[in-house]
Amino acid sequence: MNTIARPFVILLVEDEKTDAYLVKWAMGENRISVDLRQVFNGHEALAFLRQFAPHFMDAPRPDLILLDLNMPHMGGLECLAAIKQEPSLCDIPVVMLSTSHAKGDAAASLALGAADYFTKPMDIHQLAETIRVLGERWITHGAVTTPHIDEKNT
Amino acid sequence: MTRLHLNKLLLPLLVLSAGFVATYFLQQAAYTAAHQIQQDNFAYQSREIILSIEQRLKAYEQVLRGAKGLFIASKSVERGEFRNYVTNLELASSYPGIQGVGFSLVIPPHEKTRHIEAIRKEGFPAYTLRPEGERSLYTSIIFLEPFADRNLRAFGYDMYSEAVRRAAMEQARDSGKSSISSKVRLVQETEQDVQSGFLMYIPVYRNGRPHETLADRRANIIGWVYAPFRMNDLMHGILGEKIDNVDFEIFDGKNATPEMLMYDSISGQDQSGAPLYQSSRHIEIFGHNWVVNLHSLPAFEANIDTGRISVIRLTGILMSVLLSLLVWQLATGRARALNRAQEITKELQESEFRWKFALEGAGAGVWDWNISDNTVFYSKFWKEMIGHSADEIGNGLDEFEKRIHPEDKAATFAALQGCLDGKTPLYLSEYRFRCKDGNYIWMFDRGMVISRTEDGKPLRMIGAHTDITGRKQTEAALIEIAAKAKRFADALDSIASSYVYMKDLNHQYFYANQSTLKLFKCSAEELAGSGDARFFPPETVARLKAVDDRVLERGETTMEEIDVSPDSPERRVYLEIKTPIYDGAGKIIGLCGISTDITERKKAEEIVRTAAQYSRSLIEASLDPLVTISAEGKITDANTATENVTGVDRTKLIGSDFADYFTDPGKAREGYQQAFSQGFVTDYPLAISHASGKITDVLYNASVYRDSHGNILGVFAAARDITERKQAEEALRKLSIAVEQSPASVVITDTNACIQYVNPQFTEVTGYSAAEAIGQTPRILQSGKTPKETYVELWSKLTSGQSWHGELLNKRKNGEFYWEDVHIAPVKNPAGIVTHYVAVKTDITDRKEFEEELLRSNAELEQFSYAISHDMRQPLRMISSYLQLIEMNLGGQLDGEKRDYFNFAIEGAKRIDQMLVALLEYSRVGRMGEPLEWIESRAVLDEALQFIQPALDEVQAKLSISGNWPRIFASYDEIQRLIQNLIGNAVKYRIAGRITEIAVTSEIVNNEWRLCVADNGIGIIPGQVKRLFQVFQRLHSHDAYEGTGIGLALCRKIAEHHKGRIWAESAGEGLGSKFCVVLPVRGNN
Repeated sequence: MNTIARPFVILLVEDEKTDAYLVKWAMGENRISVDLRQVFNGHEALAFLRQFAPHFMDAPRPDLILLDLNMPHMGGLECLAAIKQEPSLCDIPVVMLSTSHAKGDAAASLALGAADYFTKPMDIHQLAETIRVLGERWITHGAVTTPHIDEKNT
Repeated sequence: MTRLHLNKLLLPLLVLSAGFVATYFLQQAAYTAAHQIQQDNFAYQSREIILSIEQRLKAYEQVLRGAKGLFIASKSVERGEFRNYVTNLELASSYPGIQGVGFSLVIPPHEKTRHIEAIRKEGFPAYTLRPEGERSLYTSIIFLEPFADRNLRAFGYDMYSEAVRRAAMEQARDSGKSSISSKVRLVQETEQDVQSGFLMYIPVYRNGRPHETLADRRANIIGWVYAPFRMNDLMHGILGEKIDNVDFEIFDGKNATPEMLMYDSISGQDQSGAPLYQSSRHIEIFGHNWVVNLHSLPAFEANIDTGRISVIRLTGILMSVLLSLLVWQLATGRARALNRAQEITKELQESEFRWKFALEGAGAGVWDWNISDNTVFYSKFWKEMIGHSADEIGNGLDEFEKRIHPEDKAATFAALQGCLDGKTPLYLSEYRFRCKDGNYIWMFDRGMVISRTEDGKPLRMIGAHTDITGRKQTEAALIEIAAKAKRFADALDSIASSYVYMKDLNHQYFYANQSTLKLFKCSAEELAGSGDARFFPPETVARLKAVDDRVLERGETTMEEIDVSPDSPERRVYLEIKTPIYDGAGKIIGLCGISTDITERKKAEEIVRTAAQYSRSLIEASLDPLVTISAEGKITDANTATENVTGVDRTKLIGSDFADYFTDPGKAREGYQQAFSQGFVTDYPLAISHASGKITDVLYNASVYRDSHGNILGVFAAARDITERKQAEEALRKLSIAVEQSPASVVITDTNACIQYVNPQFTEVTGYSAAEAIGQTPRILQSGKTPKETYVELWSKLTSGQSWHGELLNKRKNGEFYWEDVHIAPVKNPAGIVTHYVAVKTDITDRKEFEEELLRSNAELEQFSYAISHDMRQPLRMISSYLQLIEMNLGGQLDGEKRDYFNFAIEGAKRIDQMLVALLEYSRVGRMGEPLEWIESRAVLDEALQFIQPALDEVQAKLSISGNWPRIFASYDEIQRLIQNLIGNAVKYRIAGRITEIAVTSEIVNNEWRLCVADNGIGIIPGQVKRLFQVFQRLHSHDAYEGTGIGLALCRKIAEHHKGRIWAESAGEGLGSKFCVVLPVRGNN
């Protein structure tokens, strides 16, 4: 089995740049070093993942997708459903990161195949804590295996 | 002197010789004149004889035509009818010379045997066809009247078998006209007084069948009416004894050969010497020729008075001598001699009229018209015929003219003129002629011009007329008989409502009127020879035959009802009256029937009878004592219930006084009188006493009953104990009204889902009237939008005897859809068998629409809420987050005051967020939560405690849980939130420094679940309790106690969503609080 060491790639799907900044800040606070890419809605997320459109031609396959719920054009749930329906994408863990703490949103996300659900808290320190937990649960530091290439070769 | 003497002698000699010459010429002239007159007379008499023969034969033909008319007017002619007809003609007196009138029937070979049997059955056992032997066609003289003497010999004779007769029969048949045969020897002849004979035939064709063409005539001939004539008898009848001066012979055919001699007026008499006058004439009668040779007899010739001519001669000579003597004697007696000559001439003229008297002897009135001076000699008899004496009528033509009936005058004078002009050899006319008494008699007048001038101008015409009134009357009578018969047949045909028919002894129809033919669906021709078997089913035929036999064999007149096909829809009932038909001899020859269709009447009678039986059954079935009472107060009928209540047998009850059975007979009679005077009594209280002494209190209802004319026959009285029934009826009535007026639709169907009842609300809702709905199934309401499974479930429930409840989307008559809440329950009879289904339905369209509207607005609200929860909180989060980032970045640069400012701003943003979240939660109660379900209350408590535990631990609160925790029907999340909030409040509003004690209790009170959370906290100021549960109402400042001001409002909303209530109890400030929630417990588990 070949393993290639490379940075952990996270695709952050978030329409608010300010929100994305806060997430990056929280990662920095927790010393999480990743290759963080951002797109602004569901359509862009899918284009990124499918390597469509000129500027996504060289998009790397993310190791984790952080997905907001409420976005223009294509919302988080819709995007999640599309990802989970594509065989080449469905194995990428998707973690929901939303302002909403409505029970229904969490339940719906998990039902569609989301790996985890985090609410973005009001307090910035709490946000840092949330991202720390998230990182511990979902981010691998250092070398990252590329199982999809291996699987294709076997 | 000698010369003078000679002269004197010469003149007388001249006179004498002139006298001789004159006498000779006078005698010759007289002889020629007499001879001419006699020649005229002979010609006249000859024509007269021939005319008489022709006229009479035509009269006979009329008789036969009358008989034929009988066949035309009737469908068939019976022996009796024929006899009556011929008898009425009085042949012997009116038409002497005819041997009889008969009918010869055509018989095809295949019917020969049957025919012989039929005639034998009429009472002629020896009847057979003569001559015997096989022939291709038979005829038989079946009628011949008078049926006696010589005529009996002709009965059954087949005339067609004999060549001479057949020729005449065929001629008649093929021409459709009368014919006469050549000379025959009649079968009537015996050995004595053998005479020549001939026969006259008129063909009779099948009624109603065409006989326009030869083929038709041959096909449809049924026989000939005919008459046999014996020549001598005939001529005697025609001419009587009057002919004594003319001899004539009649020969058959066109030539007078001796073997064809039919008649000789003076047979066997030796004819000495050639007759002075003779003529030979042809007669053509009905296409047949006769030759008549006539000879004058000496008696006729004697009328030429040769003796008188001798007298004229002698007298002339004598007179010449005398004249000469007279002349000689100076012609002294000359005038006397001339007078004498005139007298002689007159005598001669008188002798001319002798023949006229002879004619008068034969019953004719003779006239002689001298056209040149327009005088008419009318004979004495001419005058006497019309009641005048000889001197009452002059000799003008006007005497004739003025007596002719005005209607006949023109024709008569036209005929007369025709003869005068020579256009017709004979003048013939029939006219009515006025008698002295003013009455008219019919005359037959004939005459001829007997002398004309050389250029043809008529000079003299003679003639005679005879009284033919008798013949005319007979003709009229014949026409009347035929017309009567036709009218009678027409009348029968016009009777549409009755069936009139006649049958012969073999039960075969020979007549039926039009309505019968229509019923039988056959024509008159097809009917003949048909029996009942052709028209009726076998059992009816047998029944009809039995009735017919009674009529035909015993002469009964029957009246029977005949039920045809009684058990089928084609059933008809006829009332048949049958009576025998007799011939002239009183023998039954058939029957006449009149039938009327009484099917409808019969049905009506049966309905009435059934109704009567039904009524009787009803009366007997009644548990109420029922009696009828006559006008005299006697019981006329009573039912079993009356027997039971009185203890008296029905036979004894009937005829007894009704009042005897009541405890108070006087009151009973009073009630009876009341019924009589008012027509009824209602609920009249009486007590019936049983034979055993037992008393039954009853209410009497009575009314009079009447016959069909409205006369009171008596009283019908019914006793009843109505209390129970009335109550039941009242209850039923109320129920009925309730159903009728119900705001819910009520539908009752039978087990086949066939609608039997709907209430007015049904009509209101669906638009279908009761009449439209009844008989249909509720499927008429189906919209097609209700899932099939719903109906499957519905029917599986109903057929298993259970009721069903559900909602159906149905369709109104106008096509609108509507929602119904439907309860359907099977209705069972006492035996437990389902007999009907009752559906009670409520139109819930409005509710459904409201619900849908609510769902829609909830969805919108949800959208709104979501927008708040995300879109509003996002910027709030940005505010608080970036304020914090700024604060952190500034770090030590901030002094304490500025740090506080930052914190106020951040806290404010956070509080708004908390309130937003709380509001969202509040608005979602009852909308977003999962549906109510059975949950374990204790499990909910335990989960709530997991959330609240950190807070409890933080303040080291003492929590006690007690009581009975039941299963409840509720929303898990909401109840959990409720418990969390109440316990959370208990922690929040604690008194600092005091150990917080919280008691959670659960119990069932009055079938309700009661949950209480009691604490030892700050308590509630009395009067503030109400404000507690309102949104954003805080009793305390935010500084003192954190909170959104929504917690308890949310609790109240949750309680209310569960149809429960919440309240707070507190002894006062600092004395702790107790919050209680009560929710109904649904069901038992």
